[in-house]
Amino acid sequence: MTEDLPRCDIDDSEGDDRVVVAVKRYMRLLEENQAPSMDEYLSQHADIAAELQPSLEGLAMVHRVGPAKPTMMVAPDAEFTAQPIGDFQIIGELGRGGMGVVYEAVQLSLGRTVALKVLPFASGLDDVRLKRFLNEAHAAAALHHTNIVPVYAVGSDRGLHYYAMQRIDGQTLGDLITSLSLNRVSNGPREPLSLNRVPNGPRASKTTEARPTRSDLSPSTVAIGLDESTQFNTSGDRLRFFQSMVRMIVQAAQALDYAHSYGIVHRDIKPGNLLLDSAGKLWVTDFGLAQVQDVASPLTRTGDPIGTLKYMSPEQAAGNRTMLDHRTDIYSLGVTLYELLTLKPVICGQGYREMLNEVAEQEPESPRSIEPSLPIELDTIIRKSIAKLPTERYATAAAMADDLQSWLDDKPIKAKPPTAWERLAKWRRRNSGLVLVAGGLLFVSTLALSATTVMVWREQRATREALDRETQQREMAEQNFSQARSAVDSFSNLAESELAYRGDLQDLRRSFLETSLEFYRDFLDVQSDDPAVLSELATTSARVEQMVEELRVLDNIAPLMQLSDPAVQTELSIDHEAARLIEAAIDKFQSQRHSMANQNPGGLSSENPEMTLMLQEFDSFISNQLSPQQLKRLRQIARQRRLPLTFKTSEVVAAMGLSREQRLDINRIIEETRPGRNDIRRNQMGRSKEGPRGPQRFDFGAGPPPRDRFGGSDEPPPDRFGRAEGPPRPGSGGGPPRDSWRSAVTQNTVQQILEILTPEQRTKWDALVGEPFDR
Amino acid sequence: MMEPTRSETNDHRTSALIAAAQNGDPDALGELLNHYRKYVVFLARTGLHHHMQGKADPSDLAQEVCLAAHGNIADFRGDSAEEFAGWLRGILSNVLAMNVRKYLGTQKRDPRLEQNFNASLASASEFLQSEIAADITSPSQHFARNEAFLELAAALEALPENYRQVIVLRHVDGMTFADVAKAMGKTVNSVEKLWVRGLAKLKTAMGEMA
Repeated sequence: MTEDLPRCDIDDSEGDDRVVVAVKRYMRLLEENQAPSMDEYLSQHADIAAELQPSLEGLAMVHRVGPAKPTMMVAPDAEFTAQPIGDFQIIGELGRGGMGVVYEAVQLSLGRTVALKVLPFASGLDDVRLKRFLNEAHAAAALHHTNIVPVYAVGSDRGLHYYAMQRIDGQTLGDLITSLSLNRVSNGPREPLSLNRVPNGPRASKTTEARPTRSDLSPSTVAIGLDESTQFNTSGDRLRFFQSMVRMIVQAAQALDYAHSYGIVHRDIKPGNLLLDSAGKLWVTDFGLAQVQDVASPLTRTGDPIGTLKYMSPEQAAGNRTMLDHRTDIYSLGVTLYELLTLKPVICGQGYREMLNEVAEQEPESPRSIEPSLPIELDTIIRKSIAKLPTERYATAAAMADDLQSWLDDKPIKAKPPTAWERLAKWRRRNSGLVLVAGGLLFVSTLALSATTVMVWREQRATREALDRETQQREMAEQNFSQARSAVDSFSNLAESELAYRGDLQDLRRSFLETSLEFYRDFLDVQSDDPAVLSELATTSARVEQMVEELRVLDNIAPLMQLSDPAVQTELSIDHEAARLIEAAIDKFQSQRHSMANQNPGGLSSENPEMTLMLQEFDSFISNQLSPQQLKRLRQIARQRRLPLTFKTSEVVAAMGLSREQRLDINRIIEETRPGRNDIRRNQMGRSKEGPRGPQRFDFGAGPPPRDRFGGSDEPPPDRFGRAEGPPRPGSGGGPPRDSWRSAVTQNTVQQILEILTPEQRTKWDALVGEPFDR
Repeated sequence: MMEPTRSETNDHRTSALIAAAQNGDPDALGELLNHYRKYVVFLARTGLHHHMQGKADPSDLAQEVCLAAHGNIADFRGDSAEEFAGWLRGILSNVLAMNVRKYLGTQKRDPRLEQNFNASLASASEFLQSEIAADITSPSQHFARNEAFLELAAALEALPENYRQVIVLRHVDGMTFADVAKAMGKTVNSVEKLWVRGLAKLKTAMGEMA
C-alpha cells in the first residue's frame, strides 16, 4: 500500500512545509468556527497562495462542520454507546490499545465512573479460550491490593466481552519513559508530543545533559518528586531519580507478589500496563487479559506484537506455555525497571525475528554500561531479575521488592553478582556426593558468603572515590562480614559438635576445620582496622588452628595405639620390657585424656593447650621407643586395620595423589559394598552410652582403649569394616578388628578400589600397607 | 443547457431509474449501480480498513454487492437516491461480515459484526454526504444535486492510495496526525505533506469530473 506513493511528490522544498502549516492552521480555524473566507486567508498567504489554494479547496470538501466530533471516533462502535453494556453506559472513549477499546463509562447501578475495556470484536476466541479468559478475569477480579487496579466486573452482553475497572487518572510508565527520553533528547522549544520523535530524534550524548525548562515537566513527573531533578545536574539529582523509579517498581513487585500468591500470573507486564496516578502511586492493570492477547489472531490483534515482545520473558517468547510461571512477570518487571533507569529498552532489535532472537539468546548489556551513574546494587538486582533462566531470577516478586527496598534503605541487598552464583552452583553440583548433605550445604553457603565478603571488602578498599557510597558499602560489607563470620563460626562448631562423634568422618571434619581456618585467616587479612574485631578473630582463628593441629597429632598417634595389641608387639619384635613401658604409657595417656576431657566437656571455647602438649609428649615418647623400621611397620598395620576407610584419610589421599573422581568413586564403592547399616546403630549406641561430648572426642582413629580390648571375647564376628573407627564401646568389646584385612567383605571393597587406581598409585599403595598382617 | 435544468433532469433520471429497476428492468438497475459503484467501493475500502486491513479487494466486494442488488432489488422499498444508497450500504455490510467470517473461519453469524459494519459504513457515508461537501461540490452532468456524495466518493476513489488513506483516517475516522502516522507507519511530517497534497489532488479530481 505504502509503495503506491507517487515518488515525484516526496521530498519537496521547504515551501511545502509552509503550505502544510498554513493548511493545518486553516483547519484549526474552521474547527473553532473562526475561519476567514478562503479568499481572505489566501491573501494573507499571498506568496504561497498558488500551492495553498487547491489544498484549501480540497479541505473544504472533506472537512466537516462543527467541533472535532468524538462520535466520529466511536462511530464504528456506535451501537455500543447507544445502549448500555450490562450495567455500564459508555460516555466517551479513553483510548485504544492492543486489548480493544477503553471507554469511559458509568456504572448505572452505582452511578460511578469506570474504565470499561471492551475486547476486540469477536476476538477469534473459541469457547475454550473464552472460558479460560473468563476464569482468569474472574480470578483477577478477586484481587484486592493497594497497587492493583480493582476490577469491578467482568462479563458479556450482546456477545460482547467487557471488563470494568476503576478509572485511574494518570499516565502509564510507557508515557513516562517517552516524556523522560524526550526531556533528555531535546532542549529546544517543545512541539506537541509525537511518538515519532522518540526513535527518530538524536540521542542525547551522555555528557551533555538535557536541561528542560520548568514548563517541560508534566504534572506527573512533578508528582513523583522529580521536579527539576530531571535535569540531573548533580549526582544527588540522579540518585533521587533512581530512587523514585525504584519506589514505583517496588510497589509493582509487591502487587505482583500478592497476585502470585493467589496463583495469578500477569504475563503482560510492561510500562504500558503500569499506571502512575497523580499522587505518585503505582497501579498494575490488565490482570487476566494476557490470555486474550495471546490468542488474538493477526487479523484482530490491534496491538503491536513488537511492542509486547520487548517485555516478554524468553520462555514466553518461545511460546512455552507449560513452562510459564510467575517468574515471567519478574523478568518483565526487571526489563521495565531497566528501561526506566536507563531510558533504553533491553530489547531493541528492528524486526520481529531479530527481537525474538535477542530475547531468547543475547545477554543484554549491563544497565550500568548504559547508565554509568547507576548504583552497582541496582545493576545487580536488574541483572538477576532479567536472567534468561527462570531459576536464576528472584524466586519471588517479594524477594525482588525486598532487595529494591533494601537498596532504598541503604541496606545490603541479597542478590550477588552472577559470577559468584554460577561458581556456587557449580560447586554444589560437583559436591553432591558428600556424605553429609547438610554439612555440605552449610559449607556451600559459608563459601559463598565468605567469598563475596572478601570480594566486597577488597573492592571497597580499592574504590575510595565515591565517598558517599563508601559508607553505605561499608555498612553492607560489615553486615556481610558478620553474616559470613557467623556462618563460618556455626560451620566449625557444627564440625566439632556433630562430626566429632563420627569416626568415619574425621577426614571430612578435618577438611571442614581447615577450610574455616582459611576463612578466619582471610578475615584477619581484610578486617585490619578494627582492633576489637581483630582480636576476637585472632582468638577464634587460633582456636580452630589448634583443633586442626590436634587432629593432625591424633592422626599421627593413631597407629601408636595399635601397640597395645600383643599381636602387633610380636610382629614388630618388641621385647617384653619395652612392651610393658609402652602399654603403661598408653594406659596413662588414655586416662589423662579422659579426665581432661571430662573437666572440659567439649566446645570450641574450652580447648586445652595441655591436651596438645600431652599428645605431643606421648607421641615423642612412643616414637623414641621404636626404631624407624618398627614405626613404619606399625603405620602399615594401622592402615591395614582401618581398611577400607584408609583410602579416605587425608594422608593416603595426599600420598597417592587421588583425583577428585577417584575419591568420589571410592566413596561410592565403600557405600555400595557396605554390609548393612550397622554402623549407624553402633554410632548411636556409642553416643548414647557415652553421653554427648564425652571423653571419646579424641579417640577417633586412635583405636580402642587397651584395657577394654581383652574383654571383647563376645564380640560379633568381624564381618563389618570400619569398626576400628567407631567410638569405643566400653564393656562391649571393641577390640581391634585384626582380621578386617581378611574379611571377605573388606577384601572385596579394597579389591574394587584398587581397580580404579593407576599402576603408579598401586605401587605407592603397596608401600603404604606393606605385607598383609594377619595375626 | 442550464445547470439547474440538467441537475433537475438528473434528479428525475435517478428516480426514474430506481422505479424502473424496482419494476424489474435490469438495464436500469445496471445504470444505477454504475452510478453508485465508486461509492460502494469507497465504503467497502473504508470498512475493510477498519476490520480487514487489505485482506480483500474493495472492487471485488463492490461486485458482490452489485450481484446481490440484482438478486434482491424486489426487496428495496425506497424511491430516493439516499434511500438507494442506504440499501446498498446494508448489502455491503452483510457482504463484509460474510467475508470476515470466511476469513476468520467461523460459521456462526455474529449480529454484532454486522452492526459494527453498519455503523462504520454509516459513518463513512455520512462523511460523504456532510453539508459542506454537498455545498462545495457542484453537481456535474453525471450526478444529481442530492447525489453530490457520489461525486466525492468517485474523486476519493480516484486518488492514489496513500493520499486517500490519509484523508480517510484524518477526516472520516477523525484520527490525529500522530495516530495517522502510526497507523501508516510514517512520520507525522510526511503524513502531513501527503495530506496537503491529497487535498489538492482531491480538488483537481473533482474538477475533472465536472
